[in-house]
Amino acid sequence: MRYLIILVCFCLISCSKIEEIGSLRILGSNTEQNFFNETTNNQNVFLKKNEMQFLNNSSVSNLNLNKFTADSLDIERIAGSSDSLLLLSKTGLKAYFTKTNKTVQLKNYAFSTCDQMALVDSFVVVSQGKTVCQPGIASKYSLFKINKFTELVYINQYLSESIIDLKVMNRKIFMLDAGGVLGVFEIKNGSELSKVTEFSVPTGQFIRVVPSLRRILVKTTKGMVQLSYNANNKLEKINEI
Amino acid sequence: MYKILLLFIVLIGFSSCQKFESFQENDPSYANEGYFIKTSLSESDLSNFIVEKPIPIDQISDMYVDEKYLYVADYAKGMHIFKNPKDVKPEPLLFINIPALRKFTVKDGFIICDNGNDLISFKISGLNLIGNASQVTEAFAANKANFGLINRKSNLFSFPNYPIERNVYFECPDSVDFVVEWEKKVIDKKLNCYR
Repeated sequence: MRYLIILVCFCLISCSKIEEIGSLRILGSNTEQNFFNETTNNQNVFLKKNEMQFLNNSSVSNLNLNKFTADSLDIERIAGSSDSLLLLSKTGLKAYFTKTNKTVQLKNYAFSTCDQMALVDSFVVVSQGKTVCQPGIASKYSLFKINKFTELVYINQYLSESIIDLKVMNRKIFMLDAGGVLGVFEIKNGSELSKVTEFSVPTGQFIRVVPSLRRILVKTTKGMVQLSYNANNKLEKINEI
Repeated sequence: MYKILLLFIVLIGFSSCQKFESFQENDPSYANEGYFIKTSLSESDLSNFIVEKPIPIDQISDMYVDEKYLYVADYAKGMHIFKNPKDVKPEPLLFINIPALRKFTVKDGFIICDNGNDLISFKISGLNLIGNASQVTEAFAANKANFGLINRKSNLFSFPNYPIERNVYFECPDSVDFVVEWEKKVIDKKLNCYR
């Protein structure tokens, strides 16, 4: 019995690191980074885990919010308009329809929570690859179509530099890649993504679009660049701070 | 029987110990350097809104432009506002200290933004009364008719109390409310948080 007690004590002392392991915590989620959103029709939507809060646009200073809760679904990113939104979660993409307050799971094409996405009418653009989530996958962007509100159909894909930001302004798709190129794309013939124009913004990190003024603001490592997207479908630099 | 029992306990003990080994030390990403808290804010610091003359921009976290002004959010510092946004060199007008700001929008003469875990609306109608930065006096800035907090929704967000970098170990932010600046340095104590 004495040996037994000694051995148990020995085991416990040897395993004294159990406390350190038990206290290791893994923190951080994309929701906390993508918490402040604006839809293509100028509706602000705030995210917190499985909640979406829509800011009421009448008397905004009152901060009246309409809440939608998606049961057991952490929303990592959203895109689209206030009528129909795309929700990105660990289980892929869902379509959310505001009027019915319902979500529909869409077919998962190996989407990850690091992917960028956009919704233009019933077309979906998703960029994938060379991200923290999928570092080994070649970077590309793909075009899909949502049929009958429930079915996500693959249409086309294009290899590219790693896409680090993707936004929609006036039905055009703006993609910023890791090489510092801001490309403007449109959907042609219902089956292809066609580049309209591009502009080089070295060290661009993320963009913000302002549809009412047709402006694009690009954050760079040194500051920011303001561009206009003019009626001739050209990007022009206005200034830099 | 007694020996078999002893052997069994010893085996269980050692196999369990394998799991208890510090995997931080065995993890290649647990290199010599980790992230430590450099600057933090308490909940009470968040209500410290001050309108002042322009200051240099440090770390842009968001930006917006309208017909009259260019707005630039400085991460966990506040908002820089420039006039003549279409000029080659927009003119710095003022800075609004919003202590834990990250993202914002501007609507109907209000800044709608986060501040720590809260969503706030902040009146900026005083902008229309200023011609240039020299007119931003203390009395003018403190006038609630010009600038000031209008509304606040508490705990709408979770402020990211971790470094933006991934696959890193960092000091657990247990004793502070909001970490606004991290410092990368040589690990001199066990870091028990990971992202």
